[in-house]
Amino acid sequence: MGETKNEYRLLLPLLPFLVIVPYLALQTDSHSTDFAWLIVVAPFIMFPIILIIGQVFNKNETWKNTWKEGGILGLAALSVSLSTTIWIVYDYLIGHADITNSGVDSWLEWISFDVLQSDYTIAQNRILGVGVWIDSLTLMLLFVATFLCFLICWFAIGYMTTDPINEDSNHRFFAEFVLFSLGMFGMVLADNFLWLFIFWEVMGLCSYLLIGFYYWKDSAAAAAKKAFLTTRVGDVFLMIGLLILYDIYGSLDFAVVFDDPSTGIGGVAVESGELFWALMMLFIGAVGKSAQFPLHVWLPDAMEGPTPVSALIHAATMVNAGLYLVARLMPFVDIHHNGVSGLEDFGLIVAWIGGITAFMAASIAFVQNDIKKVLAYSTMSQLAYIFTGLGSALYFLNTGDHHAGYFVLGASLFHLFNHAMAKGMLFMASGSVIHEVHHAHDHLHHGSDHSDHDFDPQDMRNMGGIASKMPVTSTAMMFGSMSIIGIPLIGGFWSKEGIIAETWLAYFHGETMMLGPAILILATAGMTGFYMSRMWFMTFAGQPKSDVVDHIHEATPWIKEPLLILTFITAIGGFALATLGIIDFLSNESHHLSLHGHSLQEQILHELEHAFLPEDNKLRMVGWTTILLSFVIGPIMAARIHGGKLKEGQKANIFVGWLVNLSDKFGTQDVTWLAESQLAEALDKRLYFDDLYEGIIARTVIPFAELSAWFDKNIIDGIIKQIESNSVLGSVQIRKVTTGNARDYILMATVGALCIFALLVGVNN
Amino acid sequence: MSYLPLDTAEAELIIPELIMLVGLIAIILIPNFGDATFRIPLSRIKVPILIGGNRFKLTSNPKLPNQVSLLIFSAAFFFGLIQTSYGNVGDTLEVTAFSRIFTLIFTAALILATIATTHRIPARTNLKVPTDNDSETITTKKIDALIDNRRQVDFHIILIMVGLGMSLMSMATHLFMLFVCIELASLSSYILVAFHKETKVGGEAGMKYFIVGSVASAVGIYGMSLLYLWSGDLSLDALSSKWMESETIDPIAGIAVGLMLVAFGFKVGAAPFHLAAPDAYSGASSPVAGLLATASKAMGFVALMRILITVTMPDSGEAFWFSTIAIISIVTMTWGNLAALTSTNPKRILAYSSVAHAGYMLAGLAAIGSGLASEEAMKLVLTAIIFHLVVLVVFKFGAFLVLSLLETEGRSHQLEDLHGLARREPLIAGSMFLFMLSLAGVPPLSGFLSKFLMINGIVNISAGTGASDVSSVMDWLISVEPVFWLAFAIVLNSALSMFYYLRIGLVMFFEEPENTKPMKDAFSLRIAIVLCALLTVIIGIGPLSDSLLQMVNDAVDSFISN
Amino acid sequence: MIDPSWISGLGVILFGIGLLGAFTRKNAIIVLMCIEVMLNAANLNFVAGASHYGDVDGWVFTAIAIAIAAAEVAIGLAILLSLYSTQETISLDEANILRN
Repeated sequence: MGETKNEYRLLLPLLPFLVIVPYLALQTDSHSTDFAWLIVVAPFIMFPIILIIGQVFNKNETWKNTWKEGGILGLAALSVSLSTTIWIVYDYLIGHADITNSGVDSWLEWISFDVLQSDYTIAQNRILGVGVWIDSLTLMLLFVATFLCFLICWFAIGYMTTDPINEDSNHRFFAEFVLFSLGMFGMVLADNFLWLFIFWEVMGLCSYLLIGFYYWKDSAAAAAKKAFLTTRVGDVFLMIGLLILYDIYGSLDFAVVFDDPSTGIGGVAVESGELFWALMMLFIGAVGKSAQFPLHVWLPDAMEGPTPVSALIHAATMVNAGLYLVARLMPFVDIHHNGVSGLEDFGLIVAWIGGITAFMAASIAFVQNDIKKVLAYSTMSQLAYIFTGLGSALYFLNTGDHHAGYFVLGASLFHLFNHAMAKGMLFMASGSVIHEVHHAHDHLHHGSDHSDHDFDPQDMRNMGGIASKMPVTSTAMMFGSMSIIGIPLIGGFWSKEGIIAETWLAYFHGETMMLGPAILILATAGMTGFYMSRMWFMTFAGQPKSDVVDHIHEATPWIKEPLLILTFITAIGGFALATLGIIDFLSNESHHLSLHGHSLQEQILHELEHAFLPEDNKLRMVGWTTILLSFVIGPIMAARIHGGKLKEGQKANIFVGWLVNLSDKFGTQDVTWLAESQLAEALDKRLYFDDLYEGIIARTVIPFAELSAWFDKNIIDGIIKQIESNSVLGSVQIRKVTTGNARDYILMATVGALCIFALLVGVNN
Repeated sequence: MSYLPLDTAEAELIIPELIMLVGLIAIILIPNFGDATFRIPLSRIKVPILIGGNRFKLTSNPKLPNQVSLLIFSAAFFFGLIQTSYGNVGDTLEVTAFSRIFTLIFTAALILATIATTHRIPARTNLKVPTDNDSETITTKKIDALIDNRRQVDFHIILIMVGLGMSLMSMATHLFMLFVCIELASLSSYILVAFHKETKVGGEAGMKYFIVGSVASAVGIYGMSLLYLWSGDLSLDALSSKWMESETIDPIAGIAVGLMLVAFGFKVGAAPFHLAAPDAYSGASSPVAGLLATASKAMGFVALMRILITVTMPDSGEAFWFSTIAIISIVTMTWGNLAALTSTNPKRILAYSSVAHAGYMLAGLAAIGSGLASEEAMKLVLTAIIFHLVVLVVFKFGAFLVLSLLETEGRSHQLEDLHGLARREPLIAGSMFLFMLSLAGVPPLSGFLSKFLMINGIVNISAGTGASDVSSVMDWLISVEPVFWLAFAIVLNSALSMFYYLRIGLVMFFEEPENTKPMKDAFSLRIAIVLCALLTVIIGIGPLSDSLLQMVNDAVDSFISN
Repeated sequence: MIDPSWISGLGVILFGIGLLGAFTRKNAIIVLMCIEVMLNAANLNFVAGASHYGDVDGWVFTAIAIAIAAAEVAIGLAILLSLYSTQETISLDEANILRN
């Protein structure tokens, strides 16, 4: 390790995989949707291959160096998924008839079965099909998932294979990685709720496996268990929700359910009360998966997994699943399109959960010193934004204001996109930092007896002033943070602005219950500005806080490329897509990304005007408050506390140099008094949620579990053991009849014959 | 009137049996071919007469009988398989699809037995005669080897006789013919069991099997003679029509059928007539034990089906033997499984397991006897029974083949001998595990399919017998016909049997072997084992199982139409 | 001519004696003899049946059954010999290495 090696030749095996989709696409009569199965099947095939080959050729040099312990194979599978996705997206955008007409494609019947209905009649031939459902929501998430999975896999090849702790277990990592990816792809593509649920569970399983990747560490094992169990709570509700839905509509197919959500099976009008509970149950499932209050406790612990896993879970896949599910529920409430009215409360609940989580997570992020934990809470907080947005959308759609509803729906999903890109990059960048700090530390203490186990390469208090050492990473992280903060013109600004504005709009339209979430997310905007800036300044600006920093080199191969690509997308992707009208596209208002007949300048001006100078005065005020809070107050406070010049003689590149220098201008401020306050401690303890849950569980679940265990051990096992010992006794006895003496055998046979006669006589008389 | 006992059309029908008959003569003659000559009296002309003298190199090869007998059985199997024409042969034999499928079962089992025997009683070429200088052990070894060579042909002669007897028996339409054929096969199999007369257990196993078997068949013949007294004609048709005519069951006829049940019950290994079987299996060599567990059992079932279904099954209503057979079946399966539970001798475990399997099949017969079965359901159960007998050849004999392989090392009478087999012989151990799973009836193996068909058939018969308007499960269980409980017993017993089948798997995979060397290179035996394992899978699921089921279906149709 | 029922009655007695002897005597050769007695009981029945029905089949059955009995004895004695050569006993009670 150390010097950068050019390892691109290792990518040669990818070529045949990259050719597959273009070859298919160039065939006449080939429709992209016909090959959508490739997206899921490619990783599905690769999963056992990596696992088996890895198991067989573990420790083999070629396997390690040329195939990167399966990383290249994983990348190959994901490249097929990615290229297929791009093909489908392309077909969709140019308005290919196949997709835009139907939007759904069912290939084959999977299972057909009969159902015993509640009135004890049997409905025959219910069919569970296998198919895909394609609309703009699917496509956006599919693109995000495939694209990020591909990049993260690329990143992981560099990150995982150069870390001695992963030695000889990387095939396990990559195998589980592709399985996780396929879970997300499948969930997004599924054309009914059942398949959605199945793939949802695949992800649940893989999150358990990957978070617990370092299973020999107690903390990792516990974190894996926690993630699994917490999301499981949500999953149970999700399942109940699906059952209620099935009860209402007699089907779980999107095509059937969304065709006319107001009419249930047999043409019965759907009662909003029943549907409300179905939606609530589904929402609780989503809350678990997306780590929202009150099922958020697993997410920070999930940082125990390797960093690529964090990126995977937090940006590309798992947490988006919950958002996707809630966004899928829109047709139920959209009274403009046959939705069921009377479900405003559902939207309010979603928005409130979002608002609370956003504020809570942001405040906890204030005091975190672990770079990945900050990002974890930031993820929670940003997801909460999206939930708030979705909640507003649900509200608007149900109250009939479908323009506002579609707008905020699009904005929320756009924020999902921006957040995924930025957060994927931030995690990879943080991984890069951690990796290099770790190596530098190893390098520094090489030869000594590694006694310094207390050193935490993730602790920002060991960093500082790294900007000059890691130009690519620091730049990437700066843009990522800006996007998350919502610095005007960059990435997340375009979407966050929309969410906040529309949430306020709901309040202005007379829904007082929306005031809470509106205030919470507005405050969170400023807090986001603070903690993201704090993280950046603590890591990259100021004086080095440990001797390790001097020895850092940005040298590991495979790591920079994804960062560069994502930096580019984060920096201009938001603006570009906003200009192309992605918000309308994502809310299914339009099927195209285009300028809509305007010239480029007109469209840009239109977007800028829409963002900065909305017609409504109140909204204008909200917008500028947001900008003020997030852009000015938060970062400046962070700069005052943590900013500062680099060490003498060190120079950062021009992208970030200005920021470092700027941060020095605001002077310094000592906040020790605040850091030692009870509030800080409470935040550090994550507002005691974990303790609370543990307390509750200790008082309720554990006694019950102990009772069950006792019952199982003494009653069930007791019965089984009794049966077993009786069988064994009987066996010994019955074998004694076989005395080995032929006379006894004849005697037995004679007795048997007499019994036969007795029976024959007895029965027939 | 032809002077030949057969005309050509009839001869074509029984080609497999003719092959075995000719083969029997051939295998007696072939090893005796030599260069002997006969001088014509009063002249010096010597005419070679081929029999006797110094044997030719080819005919003196001790491996020859084995190859000849393999050839004979394979040819018989092949011609049995391609046979399409059916009909009467003489007055007492009738070739039907039913008899053909049993010919296939018997010859297939015999082929496997022949292959296994190649390594069980190895024939060695270039043997040396012991000299005065040899130590005692070497002398014994050399003599043993010589004896093995000498008796090669004996074993195969007897095998062919078994095949002939069984095959003819399956096509007999006359009860006495049936019995004579059974005796031909049984008497031969007694010899096979006692074949290893140099071991203590060989003689003892043969003696027990012989004594108990002879008593059983004497009882059976006595029962048959009573039947003759009652009817005056022992052809199945005559018996059947006489049975139909009689309003009530004549006590003599009832006793006669009961006595015959004893004889056939011994053949199939039904409790309490099975007691000698485990002893015989564990004393006999594994190929012979396999033969007893598959072919001999199938033979017993043919006889049972003839007597119980062809002759005494009334057109409607319950057969008089229904509850008897039902109780015997439940006792048999429970006894077999219970006894196998703690047995530590793999051969005994397999013996008890085959007792249990006999119980499952008897349960099928009992379900037919309940008189509730529609024609369809009856066919279903019969199909299940015959299918089970067919697939038993694959996996039960397969398991015995594995034991044969162990026996080439002189082991297989203790569970410890299977320890760590997976480490020594992964393929063999894997196959064995497959056989065990199939015996236990784990999907998708063929053992599952047969058991599933059986349970399905029985439940089908009992379906609709429970009162449909009852409110609770208990009420339904009380109101349902007792037939249902047969299926229930099979399910319970299957659960019980999992224990010892899996235990064999357990010791193979998780115990340390005593030595880790691979076993003898018994090539053809290994091929046979792997083939059996493959068949166990593909007969259980896939197109082959369909076509086999079709064959069995045809057999059942031809059996019913008689 | 004797009534066939007397003949078969004798058969019943013989069969009973044979069966009783089969599980009370421990000398294998005597058990073998008992089996012969049982077979002969069957033969008597065949004969009785043949004379009752005037059917020649019964005689044929008898002849074949005698042949079977002969074969059985031959095989039985051979097996007993081999048992004797290894265990030096033909007592059913003593030859019980194989059991349980």
